[in-house]
Amino acid sequence: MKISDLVRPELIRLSGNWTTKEQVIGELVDVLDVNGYLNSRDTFYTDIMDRESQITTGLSDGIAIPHARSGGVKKPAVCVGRSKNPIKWQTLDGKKVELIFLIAVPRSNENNLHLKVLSQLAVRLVDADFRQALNAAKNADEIIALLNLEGDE
Amino acid sequence: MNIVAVTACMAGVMHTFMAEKGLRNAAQKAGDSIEIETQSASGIENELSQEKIDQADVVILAIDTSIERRERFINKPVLTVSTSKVLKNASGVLEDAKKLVR
Repeated sequence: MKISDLVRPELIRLSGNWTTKEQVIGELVDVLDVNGYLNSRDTFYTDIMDRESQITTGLSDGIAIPHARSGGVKKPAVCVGRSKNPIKWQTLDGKKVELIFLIAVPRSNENNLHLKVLSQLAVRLVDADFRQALNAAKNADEIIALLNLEGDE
Repeated sequence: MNIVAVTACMAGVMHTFMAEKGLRNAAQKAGDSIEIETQSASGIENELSQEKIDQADVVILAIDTSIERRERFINKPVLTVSTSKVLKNASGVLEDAKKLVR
């Protein structure tokens, strides 16, 4: 499995007209729902928001990674959103968020190859150069290409 | 310095591995040796043996949740921090851990 198996082009929204974190997460959860990745939209949304209330998922350089392992998820996926307006989010460097990776992981541990792929994404997100490159990506193809680079080692 | 660490987070999907990488980078920069166990949704990986732990100067637990087999560290100096703290300033966490070594 590669990261491109989880980040499908239909799950990328690059000109979101959002103003709040709740709105961003709500709309990205809807994107997963209409594309058939969820068993229960409400369960997943609640699990994501619970997770957000416990500890921040904001990183540095305007990137956030809201995520949950949830019974509401049918198939693992990563939904990517870029907001036209910087969104208030608790982050490591205090900056507002523009690029969001919403990560959906099923509760069940069966067939968990996706966990390895996601851990590789996590490791790469520690690298400031990678975060800058993601921010500079102009379109969905560029984002997918960046994610795939070195991603299938 | 010889350091062992465990990283673990709530969902066990992302922060565990970001904290692992952050500590690894910081240790490399400081010239320290580090072994890191991850406890995540994939289970325990790179499990620290008692022997390895006994040989270490200090233990870093970068955890947002309770971990398995914490009793292994009972006789060691242990610094416990959140994964976010490591992501913010891994080098600082490493320095704080070293201060616990007598």
